[in-house]
Formats: sequence, C-alpha cells, structure tokens
Amino acid sequence: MAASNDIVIEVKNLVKTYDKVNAVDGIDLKIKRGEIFAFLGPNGAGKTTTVEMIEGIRKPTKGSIMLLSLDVAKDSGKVKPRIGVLPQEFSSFDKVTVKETISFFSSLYKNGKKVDDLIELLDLSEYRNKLYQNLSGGLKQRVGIAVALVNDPEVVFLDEPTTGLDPRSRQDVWKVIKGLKGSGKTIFLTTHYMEEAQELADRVAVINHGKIIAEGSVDELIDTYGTGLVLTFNGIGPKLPVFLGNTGRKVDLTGNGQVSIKISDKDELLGILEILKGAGVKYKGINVRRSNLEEVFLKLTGESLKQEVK
Amino acid sequence: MDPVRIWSVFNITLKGFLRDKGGLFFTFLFPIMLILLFGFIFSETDEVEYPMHIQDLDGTEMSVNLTEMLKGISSFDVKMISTDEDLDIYLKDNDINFVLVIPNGYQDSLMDRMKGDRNSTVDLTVKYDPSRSSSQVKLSILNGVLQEMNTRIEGVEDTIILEPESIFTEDFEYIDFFIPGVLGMTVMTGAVFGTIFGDSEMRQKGIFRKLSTTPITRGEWILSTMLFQLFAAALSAVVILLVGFLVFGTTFYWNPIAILVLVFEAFFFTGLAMLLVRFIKEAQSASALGNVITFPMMFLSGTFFNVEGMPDFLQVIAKALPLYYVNEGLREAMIFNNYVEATYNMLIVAALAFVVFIAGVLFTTWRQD
Ligand SMILES: Nc1ncnc2c1ncn2[C@@H]1O[C@H](COP(=O)(O)OP(=O)(O)OP(=O)(O)O)[C@@H](O)[C@H]1O
Ligand SMILES: [Mg+2]
Repeated sequence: MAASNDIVIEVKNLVKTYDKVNAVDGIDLKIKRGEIFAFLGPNGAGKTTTVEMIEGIRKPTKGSIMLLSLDVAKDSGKVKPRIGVLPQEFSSFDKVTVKETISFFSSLYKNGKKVDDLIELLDLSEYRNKLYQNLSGGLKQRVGIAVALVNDPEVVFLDEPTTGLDPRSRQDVWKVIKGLKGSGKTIFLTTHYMEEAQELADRVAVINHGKIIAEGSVDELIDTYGTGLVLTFNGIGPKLPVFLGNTGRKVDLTGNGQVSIKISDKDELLGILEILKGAGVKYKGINVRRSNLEEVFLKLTGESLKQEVK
Repeated sequence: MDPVRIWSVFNITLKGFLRDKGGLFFTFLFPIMLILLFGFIFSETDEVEYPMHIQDLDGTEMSVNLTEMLKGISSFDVKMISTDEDLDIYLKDNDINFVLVIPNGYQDSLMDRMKGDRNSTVDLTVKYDPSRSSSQVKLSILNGVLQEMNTRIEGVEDTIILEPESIFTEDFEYIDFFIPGVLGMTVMTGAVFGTIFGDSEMRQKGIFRKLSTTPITRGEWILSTMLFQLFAAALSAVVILLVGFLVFGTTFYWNPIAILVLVFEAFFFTGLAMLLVRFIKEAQSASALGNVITFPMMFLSGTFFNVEGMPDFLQVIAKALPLYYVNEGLREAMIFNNYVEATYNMLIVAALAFVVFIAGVLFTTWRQD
C-alpha cells in the first residue's frame, strides 16, 4: 500500500464559525489506518463539531477534509457507505426491538452485514427481542455501536460512547472498542474521560476552545507535559495541607481526607517525608504514581477536565 | 430513490405505530368517537324530514315540474308560499329558515338553453339561515337535484351515472354530510400529528443525525413517511366508513376520485408538516404546531358544517384552506358522484401535494445547521 493510503483521515486548517465565534479554530489532523484516535476535551471544546464535519454532516466554514482519500465536501455519497457513526447521545426508535433496529439500519446499505453476526459481536443475543426503550443505558450504547457497524465500515466514529454509563457498562463498551481495533478498523473516538483515552487510544489529541493544544501517544503526552510524579497522602489531619502549602507547592485537595502534590523525583519524595516527620505532621499512608492525562490537561489549560462532566 | 430503503423506513414506522397507543387512538378511536357523537347529536335534534318552502314566481309547467320533483324527495316536506307574500316579512313572521324562489322567466330561460342558447342561465334564489345545520343539508340536497337537472338539460345524462333514486329517495341526513368531513379531518390530523411528532422525536433522538451519515436520502425519507401516512389514512377511512355503515346505515358512492383526494391529502399534509417542523426547537411545541395547522382548517373548511352556510368573509378564508378542497372533493364524489366537480377539487389537492413534496426535498435537510 502506498503511504498516502495509510492516512485515513486528513484534516487541514478546519474552521467552523458559529455566531462569529470559532467553535473549531484551525484544526489539523492525520489519522492512520487501524489506529484508535482519541479526541479529548471538555464540554464545548469543539469535538462534536469537528467529528461531524469529518463525517460530512456539517459544513466547514474553512478548511479541507480528506476521508479515505475522498474529499468529503464533494464525495459524501462515496464516503457514507464506508464509515460508521455513533452520534453523541444517540438513541434509537423506542418501540422497536434490538434485532429490528439493527436490521433497519443494515437495510439502508447495499452491503449491509448479517444482523445475527452483529448481535453476536456485541453480545446482545439475550436482548434481541427486547424493545429499545426497555434497555439499560449500557445496552443502548451497545446497540448504537452495532448500528454503527452494520455496513462493516473502514472508519468508525464514536462520539462520547460511554458518557453517562456506570463503570461496568463502560468496561463492556471498552471491550467492544478494543475488539474493533483488533478487526482492523480505524476508530475516531471523542471523549472527555481521561481513563478512556488512556485505556484505549493509540494516539490522543487534546482539544480546548476549538484548538488542538497537544497531540501524541498517551506516553508521549505524559512524558512531555506530565509533572513527573504525584504524591498523595491519605488519612490526613488539618495541619498537613497548610504545611505543604507553606513549602510553596500547589496543593490539590481531592476530598476523602486526601491531598496531592506534584513532585519530580524520588529524592524530592524522601525529602518531603523527612521534613514532615521532623515537624510531627500526621497522616495514615501515602501513594505515589506517575502523573496521568488529568495532570497533562491541567498543565495545558489550567482547567480541570473532571468538573466538566455533566 | 431506492425502494428497499423506502420500504425499510415504512416498515419500522409501522412497527412503532402499531406498538404505540397514542397513534392508534388518533387513527381509529378518535374518528369513531366523533362520528358517534355528532351522528347521535344531530340525528336527534334535526328533523329527518326537512321543511322546504318554495315560492314559485314563474308559475309555468316547468316550474311546477321542479316543485313536483322536490316534493318527490322524501327528505323534503314541501310547502308553497303564495306569490303575493313579501318574502322577508313572511319569513320573519313564520320563523322559516329556508326558501327556494323560482324566478319569473324560469321556463323561458330553460327553453332557450335547451334550444342551444348557451348564454341562457337560470338563477334560482335560496334564502336561508346559515346558522342552522339543517340549511346545509337542504342546500346539499338541492344542489344535487339541480346538478341532476343540469345534466339532463345538457342531454348527457347517459354518460354520467347519476341515479336519483339511490340517494334522493333516501333520507339525506347530517351524518351523510359529516362522514366525508370526518374522513378528510382524520387523514389531515393523522398526517400532521403523525409527522410532527415523528419528526421531532427522530430529531431529538439524533436519529436524523445518524441517518444523515448513511446512504438514505431526505427524499426517500419524505416519500416513505408520506406513504406511511397514506397507509394510516386508508386504515382510518375503512374504519370510519364501516362505523358509518354499521351504526347509521350510511352508504356512499364508490367513486375512485374520493380515493385520489385522500391520497393527495395524506401526501399534502405530511409534506406540509415536514416543512414546518423544522421551525420548532422543542418537542413540547410539536403539539402546538399541530394544533395551529389543523384547528382553523377543521372549523373553517366545512368539516362539520357546509361552508356555503358561513358568512362571506369566512367563505373567502375557507377557500384559501387546503382542507376545503378535500372536503368538497370528497362530498362531490361520495355523496353526489359528481366526477367533474370531484376531479376539479382533487386536482387542486394533488397540485398542493406536489408542490409541498418538492419544497420538502429542496428546503429540508438532514443537516443541523
Ligand atoms: N449548531 C450550533 N449553533 C451554534 N453554536 C454551536 C452549534 N453547535 C455547536 N455550537 C457551539 O460550538 C462549541 C463546540 O460545541 P461541540 O458540540 O462541538 O463541543 P463538544 O466538544 O462536542 O462538547 P460536548 O462534550 O458537550 O459534546 C460550543 O460552544 C457550542 O455551543
Ligand atoms: Mg460533543
């Protein structure tokens, strides 16, 4: 295969303006065949606007989009049979069963897949004759993903596939997404969950206010923007945060009797523990971990992603 | 246009419809309730035999003929008013609400016409009280009779199968007038509400967004929805006619134009609703929009009472409302078996349906922005 064919999505200087505000403000992207690409950003960052422009259902104000080597603006008819989409907050016909739902969407394509295979793939056999309206949120999302796969697409767009799901359902959906990657599909995932990007993505682009502020593999991002280590104390008293604050560090009160600070290495860790011991400040235990995307985001934007969760 | 996709949308809409109690109510129970309610109210308050006053200013053989003919209609109890009476005073004094005046020169004009003078016309005057529903019925019967006479005068009665006995010897009741109105109204409300609720739900759920990423086109979606509404309309029609027959013994002419009127009506209102539903943002406004479209039409287009009985300015409004042509077309076809008038009205509805479909394809998109 020629190198150009390995790039499945190529976006250049993409802009979308709403009411004189750039919801998407000059985005460039290159996504390779077979990778899971995560578009990570808080509410209103411009994720959905970007994906929907790539899918061809919103018109860009500026910029060019090549999808599967086709110009989306001109060849939307040729693109559609080759992509699968789970729109944000998608929900299907209430009074239609799982099987009927998948079968309906499958019939819209010339090359529709066998419904039973999809039911199998998404582990929905048990629920095949249940009405969509009676399914749990996690099952609904699985039906949504099944529906995004009815045409055996080369590229799958999943817009916040696990928002609002309980942890178990989220794990289920993650399993499905990993399986898709295994079958060679390219996956464009938007999310505002760090763990999701961290768990699934080969590559992550962080978007904020319509601009990509960082891009790379999860490891690269943490290496570049991470703060090294995060030290967390638990079972603390009132003195500890004050004491740490007095050392000139930024103290993160995370609740539950916990407090975190960033440190750069092992020596710093030992130094702090020494000082605390000397001062007689009490705590129950400590925990040290590598900084994650959460800190990367905080560092990049000065905002926390977590508080944005609806 | 891909028939498989059109069928798929039809099929899934049908499934949802059959499993939804609200939709079934509007398609079946609501019209039945209306027929029963209005049928019984009016069959009890209105005389079955309508008094028909005639003032014959012509006094010729032909005018007497007409009078005799009207006497032969069992719905009418014909009473003559002497020619010396001042009509306005007489009407007031005797509390009469419907008078047919045969003008002086009636026979002469008729003869001229029969001799081939195409400019010769006869103006019969009817004075009536539009607020009485019986007036509408009388007008309808009278129109039917005159239609029949016109046909005879033109000498073409053999080509149009108009059998006066089957309808004019039976009692013409309000229910005969009302059932075509209920048909038109049910198809309208079904199409408008079905489409508005359906469309705003699809949009809210993100189904349109999803569909816009698949190969189905907006035109296929619209056509499919129209076909589905047509199907629902057919179900309603069967139920309405059946109830009319079983409960009131009402029968109609099997005039194919009536079917075409209903087909184009279903298309028209589905298309109209699709065009307008774009302008509402909230699901809650959906029923408000439906009411805005259907309510005025229901009351101003002659669903319940004949438009000809309404004040002039309301008649002008009525004629600007699409449902008026539906009602006219249905009644001309079903009650009077009048192909010419029925077809005229049907073509108006068809043209409207066509315009709305094209506009729907052109002006509505899957796109959100
Ligand atoms: N149709 C529209 N009209 C006007 N403004 C819009 C429209 N769609 C999006 N916006 C604005 O563009 C910005 C980006 O929205 P977008 O939906 O792309 O964000 P997002 O990253 O997907 O957020 P979320 O996590 O909430 O889904 C927001 O400020 C939003 O208000
Ligand atoms: Mg979004």
